[in-house]
Amino acid sequence: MKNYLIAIIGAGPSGVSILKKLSTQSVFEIDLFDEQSRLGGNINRKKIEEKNDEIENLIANNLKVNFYNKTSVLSITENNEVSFNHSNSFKKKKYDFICLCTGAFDTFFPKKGYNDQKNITSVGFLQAVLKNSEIIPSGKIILAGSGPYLHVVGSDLLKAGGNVVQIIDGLSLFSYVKLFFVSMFIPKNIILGIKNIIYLKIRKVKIHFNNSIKEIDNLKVTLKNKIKVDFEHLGISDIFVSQIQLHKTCNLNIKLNYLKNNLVAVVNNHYQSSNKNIYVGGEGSGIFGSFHAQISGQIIANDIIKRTRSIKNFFSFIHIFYATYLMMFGEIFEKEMLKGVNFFDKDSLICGCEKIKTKEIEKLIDFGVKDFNSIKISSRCGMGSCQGKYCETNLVNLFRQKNISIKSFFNQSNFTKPITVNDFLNDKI
Amino acid sequence: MIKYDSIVIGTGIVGSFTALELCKLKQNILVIDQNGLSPGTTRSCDGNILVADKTSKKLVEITNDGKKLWKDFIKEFGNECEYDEKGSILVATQKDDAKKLGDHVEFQKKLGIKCSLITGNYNLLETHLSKTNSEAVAHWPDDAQLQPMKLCFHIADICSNLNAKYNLYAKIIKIEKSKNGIKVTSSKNEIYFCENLFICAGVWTNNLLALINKKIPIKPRKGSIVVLERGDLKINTKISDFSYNRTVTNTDSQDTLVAAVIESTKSGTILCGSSREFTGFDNTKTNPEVLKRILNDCVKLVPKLKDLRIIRSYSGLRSLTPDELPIIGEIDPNIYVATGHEGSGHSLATITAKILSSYFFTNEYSHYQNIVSPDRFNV
Repeated sequence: MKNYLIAIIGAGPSGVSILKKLSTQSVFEIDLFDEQSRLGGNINRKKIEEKNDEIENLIANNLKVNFYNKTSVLSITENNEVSFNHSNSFKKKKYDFICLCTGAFDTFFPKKGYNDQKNITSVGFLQAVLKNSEIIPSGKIILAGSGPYLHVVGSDLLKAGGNVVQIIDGLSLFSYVKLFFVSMFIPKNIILGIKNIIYLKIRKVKIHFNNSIKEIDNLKVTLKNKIKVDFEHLGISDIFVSQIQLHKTCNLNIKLNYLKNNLVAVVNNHYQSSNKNIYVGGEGSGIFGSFHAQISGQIIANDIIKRTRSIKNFFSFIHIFYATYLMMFGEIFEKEMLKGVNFFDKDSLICGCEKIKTKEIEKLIDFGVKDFNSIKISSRCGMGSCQGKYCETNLVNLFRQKNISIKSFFNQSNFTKPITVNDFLNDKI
Repeated sequence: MIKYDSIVIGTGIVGSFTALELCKLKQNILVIDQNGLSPGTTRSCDGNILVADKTSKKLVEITNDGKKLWKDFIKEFGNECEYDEKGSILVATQKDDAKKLGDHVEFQKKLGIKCSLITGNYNLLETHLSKTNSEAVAHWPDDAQLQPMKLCFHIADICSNLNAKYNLYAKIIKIEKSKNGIKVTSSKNEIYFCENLFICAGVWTNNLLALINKKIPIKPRKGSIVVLERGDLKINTKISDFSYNRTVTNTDSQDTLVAAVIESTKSGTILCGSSREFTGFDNTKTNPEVLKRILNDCVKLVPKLKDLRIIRSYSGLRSLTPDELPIIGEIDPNIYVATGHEGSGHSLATITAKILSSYFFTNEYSHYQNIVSPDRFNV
């Protein structure tokens, strides 16, 4: 029986969930890479050296699993060769499947861009803010994305007094109904979504189903069906942000493949025909970030299993069914990681990129600092490669826990994603 | 009634050192800022303490004195701000600039500044400096860099321990004279009294002076910086194009002036500057065209930069005076200003505080009072 070599790059929630799933099959030999010494990536806000027993045991006892910690992956070549730097020596290895689960640390998978546009935030962030304080984005608000979450945030904003005018949903209304029936159990999320769609309809909010953003230009969005909509504040769920960025600039020619359930999972464009076999998981920021990331991991793992067994033409609804099932009963890695730990323990990490601990932020808060930019510039929290994507929500939660109102949030950087100097100078934005 | 010996408005680098000086004089002080901690120019600069770019005799002398005070500060309070005397180099990129750079070195040498033209292989000092674009290179080994925000927070910490009170996010809306001293009202409706008021509000100083019907000749000059991701490339010193000095002294031009300035920070990122433009008080956004000009010039000096990734850009406002010297001194009875430091806020912050304190106790810096006094303009 043929053995398959798998590289999982990134030991965060999506990477580990792929590992957990695939390690149950004896045909896979798995190498897990991470730059840090520990598992958990961005959701491991515990002390850096603390361990996660279950996964540690899995790695220690399963001879077919290797964890290369403190290892940087340098490149991935055309023929699936991964070169990496482990214990100060360079190594190269060829794999059958490669899973990029690097989330924001996508250094060899750059999505670049210079963004002049203001007033664009993620929906997850909007909700975190809304729960924390009385701040509501002013002017006409538009939300774009897909799935029930979008409508929940829309209703919340409306109830709080926000002027939500339009919602752009990637799903069709029919797919909500389909999701409801396919999933047999009572899918709480779907019911919540449908309830909120009705609420929004009564309040005369225009919802564009089965539509997506084609272009954003100067407080104006153009939709797929050429409708133009003005806005003063645009909330985008993270998949859409990725979608816009990916379509524009990805140098690996990767296409976002919608799995019709608000989950982030991106697969290679040539994935059916060529032998590249590169999957991208993770990238799930926002409140349910790690949850989405894990599910994307599960989907990738399932797909690998399916393909190595040469099962073809699987019905797409099986995916939907499986994802909905996971949403309700799936194991949640985060819960495990955070078991018995105070979420904002003094030594837990608020900012994963720059390794900023809660106690450092608390010192600033005690001093009277209440705006995120002061925190960013005094502590470096938010200055890393993720551009504040992860830590901003953490800060909001910390302020919420302490019951302190926030003066202002991070200023939006003009550079939404890192871009090389050369590309910037040659307008390859 | 809450009464303080002194109130300092502004928590930037100048306000921080003023507050520290007053605390050392055992005064009971209050420090106010309308936004968070150091929300203005200090936040958006690169924290340089430079003599290399000073072209007038007065400015060289005052900067050199200020630098000695920096060493005293680090010795007394520790190096939490990552103060690093890594030196700076000026690079002449054109033939006729090479001679001018030689003259500039001679001029500073005469004033007792340690600097020299590099005759040998300058790549021993700065590995990645372009060979083709560098006509002449000069080295200032004593020039330093620090992390401005760590410094301001460190000083705020020291001052708090010396019983200074801090009130952030409070805007001053009224300054009045009363029989209890100067009465200051904040936007939070707090009323404070003080003997002396120090306005260290940088480029926004005139907004406060308007409350007492005064005005000083400063205007905001915007500068932008691009931040490159940390990687293997390290710049040992601070590299500036020699034309940088010209952009500093060219105060009349309405055009956007750009000169390459490249340096590594302690955290590993690389900062690329610099620009000088008049765009009013708007510093919320960087202009991509200006950033491109900056990066083009920087890549000419250090070609390897072009493969690094940009992660951020930011801009700040320098306060420019007509004669390029700061404005420090008493502007109204018991009301003092300290502003107009342009690109030299860090170089001059320490000595600014000493000049202010010389109004109360004569010290060895008293003779600078006249040179930087606001009285030299019709205020």
